Amino acid sequence: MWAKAELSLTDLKPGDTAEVISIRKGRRAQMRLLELGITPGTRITVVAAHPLRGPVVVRVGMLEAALGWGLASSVRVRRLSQAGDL
Amino acid sequence: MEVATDDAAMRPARLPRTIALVGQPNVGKSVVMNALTGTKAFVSNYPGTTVEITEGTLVYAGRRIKVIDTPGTYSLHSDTEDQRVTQRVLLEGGVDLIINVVDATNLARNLYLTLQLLDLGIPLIAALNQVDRAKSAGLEIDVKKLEDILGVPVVPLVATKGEGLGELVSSIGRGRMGKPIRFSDQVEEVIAHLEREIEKVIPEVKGRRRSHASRVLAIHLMEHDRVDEDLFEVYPELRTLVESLQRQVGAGAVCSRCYRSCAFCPARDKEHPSFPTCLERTAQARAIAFQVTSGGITRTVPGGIRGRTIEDWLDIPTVGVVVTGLTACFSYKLVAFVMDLFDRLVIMATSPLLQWITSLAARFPEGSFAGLLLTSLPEGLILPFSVVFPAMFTIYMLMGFLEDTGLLPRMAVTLHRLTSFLGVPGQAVVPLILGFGCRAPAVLATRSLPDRRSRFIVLTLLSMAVPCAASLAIITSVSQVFNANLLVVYGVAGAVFTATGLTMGRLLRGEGEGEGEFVLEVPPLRWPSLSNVWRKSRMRMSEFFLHVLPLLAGVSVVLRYLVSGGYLSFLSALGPVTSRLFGVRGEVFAAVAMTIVQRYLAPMVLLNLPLTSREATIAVSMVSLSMPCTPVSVLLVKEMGLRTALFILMLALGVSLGVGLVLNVVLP
Repeated sequence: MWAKAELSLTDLKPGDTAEVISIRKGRRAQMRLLELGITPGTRITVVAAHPLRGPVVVRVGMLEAALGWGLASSVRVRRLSQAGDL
Repeated sequence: MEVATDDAAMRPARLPRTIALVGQPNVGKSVVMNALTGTKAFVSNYPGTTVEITEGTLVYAGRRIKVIDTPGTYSLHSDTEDQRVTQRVLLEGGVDLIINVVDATNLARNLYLTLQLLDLGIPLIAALNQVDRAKSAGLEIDVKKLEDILGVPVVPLVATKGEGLGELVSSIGRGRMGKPIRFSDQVEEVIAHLEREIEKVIPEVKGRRRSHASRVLAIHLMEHDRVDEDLFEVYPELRTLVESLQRQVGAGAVCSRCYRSCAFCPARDKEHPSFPTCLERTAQARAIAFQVTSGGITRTVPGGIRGRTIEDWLDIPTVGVVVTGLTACFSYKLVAFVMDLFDRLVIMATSPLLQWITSLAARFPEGSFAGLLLTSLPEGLILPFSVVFPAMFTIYMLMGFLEDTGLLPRMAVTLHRLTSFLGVPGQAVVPLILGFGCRAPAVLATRSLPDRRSRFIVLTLLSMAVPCAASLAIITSVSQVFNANLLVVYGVAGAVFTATGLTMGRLLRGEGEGEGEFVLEVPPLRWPSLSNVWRKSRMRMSEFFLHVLPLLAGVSVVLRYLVSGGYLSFLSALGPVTSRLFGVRGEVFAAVAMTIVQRYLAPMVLLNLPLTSREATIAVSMVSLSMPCTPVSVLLVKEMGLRTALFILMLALGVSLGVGLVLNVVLP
């Protein structure tokens, strides 16, 4: 059931894997994510979520990147697997 | 350039004159640079910017070939200051071979840049780095197949171990234009239309050669939404074209969903993407990476404690905070230790010489120029060597170490939440911490910040409210002698720091940058290469010797002249005014004023005066918040321009005086 729901990247927990559906932010933000290889359809894994609306660290392929909370919240995702599933 | 057939490819006649090393951040470009040019490289600022670029010479087959190491860039449409420098190096022409360093562990993302470079029509060689790491992750890359698809030579490398570098050097005569990608028909139609427009305004003939194919320019225009001044500098004719296109969009004659190119977009529906070339290039880069790579990523998601790598541990926020704190603490202690050591050593080593010089100076009549020169020059030279030099060098080594291991970006992520209150990204912590050692290298470290606004905030905080080690020494020594209230001194400094940061962060918000769009790549951890760290520090230090040292010596002479000539004594005459306003005597105020020109002189003056505890507290607070020392002021002008630098300095002065006023009222 949760596999269908559209979430924000900030709703995910460390260890969760998800597929990016869309990025609801301006061109500049989309470009910066695109440069890191994050576009709709990309699979990302949450590595860490810093407290108090701190940055979210994600893994894309073998790359790790930190996204500020504001940006991370604009990334809409579909959860594929939850921490501990594997 | 000459056109040669394949069998002539190895002839020296085809050797390039200028090579540009281009690659994304953290792909090992600097190691390749080091291997190509050895120790002959030097760091300089790219003209008109504060971006460091490294240039060196490769001697091959009896030819001297210039090698430019460009700042790491994800794409050719990036907006940050240093990434734009890479675009400019390539746009301005003169580069006749690109060595594109590609990270084998992130092939898809790296190929995005490669595909853009292929559009430029400059011969290219792809250096496929970190094949060992890719292999250990289970990725096998078919080099031959990649060569066929891209149409350029691909040289596998393990740059850190030196594997493949020989092959790379011997292949520099074999660079090829390669096969640029084709986009979907819809996008190609737009490109073709733009090309025709471009050819109208920049005809191929008319005495001026167009060094870029109209296709590259067309794609470039499609991918830049803001007016691209760099491009207009090279092709002023394009400005008119772009402006007329923008007018058409503005007039509503064409759709406004995408940027200027969409004026001709055949798919004028509501859902078409705003930057089709970028998205299609991403898809093609992924497809190529998929075709040439076998084996998958087997790395597991961190779940339990076992099987966690050091990286996984460092990613845990609490661990990150502790490690960052320890690193900062250690760095500060190390810098303090080295500075103390140098202080003793340099004074020990130079005291006989100084005595001799003093005795020599005594032979000249009082106030003569020769005597002045003899006393002031050593002052101007000893201080940089005993304080500034060791601080800068230690900090450069530490920075190099943190950069090379990949710890630095992790620290930035950990502290981002904290610094975002000041409206600056996590990277700002580095210069701020460095500032407690010596502010000169800290000013230079602000170059790693992504935008001018963050740099402005951090530089203001640095110049005003971060006491460097030398200032701290003044604070403690004067406070001890006169029993000043250290709690007040530090409390005031902390309050000023917080107030300034919060105010600036709030006032300067809203440029679209800052915490809202913080993106930072976190590279894998690796052992630092000592030679790399050493080389970088040494290159950065040479800048200090060439630019800062002569200046300090000069300033020292001028200051001596002012002091010994009694030109500053008018300040003492202000006694009645200063004691009313700030509660300090005229002489004390003179010492405070002295910091405007040279902070280090303040304690000498202050220690020779009979101060009360209250006076000392106020004076020290004012000194510690006053303007930065001369080298830092000079660097500020160099980094931010005269106007901004003057603003920062005046603000610092104002705050210092304000603090004096307030303390005089508040303190019992």
